[in-house]
Amino acid sequence: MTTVEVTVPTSPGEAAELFGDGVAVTVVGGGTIVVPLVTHGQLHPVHALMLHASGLDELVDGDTLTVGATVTLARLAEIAPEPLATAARIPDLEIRGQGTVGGNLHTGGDLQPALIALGACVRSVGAGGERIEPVEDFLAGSEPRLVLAVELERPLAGVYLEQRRTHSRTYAVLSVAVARRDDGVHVAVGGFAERAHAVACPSVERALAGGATARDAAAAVLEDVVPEDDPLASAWYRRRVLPVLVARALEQLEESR
Amino acid sequence: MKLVVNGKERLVAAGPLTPLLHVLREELGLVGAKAGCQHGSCGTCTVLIDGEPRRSCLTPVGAIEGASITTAEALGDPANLSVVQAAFDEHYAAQCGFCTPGMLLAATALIERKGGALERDEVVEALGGHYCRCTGYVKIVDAVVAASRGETGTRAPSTLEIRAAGS
Repeated sequence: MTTVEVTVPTSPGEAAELFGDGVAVTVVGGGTIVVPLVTHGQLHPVHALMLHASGLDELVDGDTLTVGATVTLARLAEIAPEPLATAARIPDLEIRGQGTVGGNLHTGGDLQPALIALGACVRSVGAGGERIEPVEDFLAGSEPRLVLAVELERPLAGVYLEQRRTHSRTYAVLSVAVARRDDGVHVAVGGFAERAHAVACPSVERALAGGATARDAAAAVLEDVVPEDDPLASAWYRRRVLPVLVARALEQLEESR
Repeated sequence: MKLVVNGKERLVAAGPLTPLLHVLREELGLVGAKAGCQHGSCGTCTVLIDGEPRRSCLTPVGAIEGASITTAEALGDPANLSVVQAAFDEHYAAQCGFCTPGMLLAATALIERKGGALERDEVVEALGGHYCRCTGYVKIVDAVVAASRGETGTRAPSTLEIRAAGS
């Protein structure tokens, strides 16, 4: 049996220092992702960085909403605007109280499309130091990063819809987040492929800006993503359902005016 | 490290990444919390950590140093059931019983949090993370609603008893 080095930083700065370049570091936030992997022998941490005392749980509710990496989904749901609040309420009550924003962001969680639609930015550290970038760029990155916080502006309105997730899976069959911001309507989708993170839908956004109806604009979602087969649903199913879900979300956004 | 388990201070030797569930069952001999799916989906390992329902199978014990843990063992005993336990008994809310410890603790926390008569949809929402493969949930929800109204102490008649009375 190999021994695990466990470190428990007591400040964000110490967490960043102990994370270093993140190679061979297993970050433990709420534990909902890492602990079962360890229990079932699917993960053998070399260095476990436990964040429960790191002070990364700050939540600043001002013009910009700043959400620390270890803020729980339950706390986020209380203060977040739509579409983020609904996304944070998807897990059951106990998981909401334990799962963190940083972990959810990392693992194909329900927050991803909501954060993209809101134009949120992620502040993180890792090789090359601290940086802040749009959530989509963060998700597209491949090197290990420690999330410090997520920052976002409140939108004018937002809607989150998901095609029901089976209880024991970590992601939805399909999820759609739409947000009306000062510069127009933003659309993001998730769950369309097992290993893909959520993405923005520029074709849908362009169609809307050009005056298309919700239904016509939603059809353009298949220019933005390529749905795949996985154990939850077939690509065929996803291609048919995704435009419907996007259209519904856009219609609900329209009604919220 | 130290934990306060059911009101008693306990010293724990397990490593910090050990799930609380394993500490309770294997180190402290408290087998009320059940090892079900062990990835957070089924709910039967639920315990109260500082009064909040949490999955003990997902909680690394190193993250809750000094916390107060409540397990099903602390709720009551056969001669002196807690209100929620009595309601489960009266409403036939347990069949095989495997999910019951998690259900009881989640329901107990819900009733304390809301502090009054609960609606069915509030119970369904709060117990949404708990699987029961026997009852179909109706009787569990009946029991929790009754417990929230303090309606315990009179056992409801069973289906067989109702049929017998009607024949």
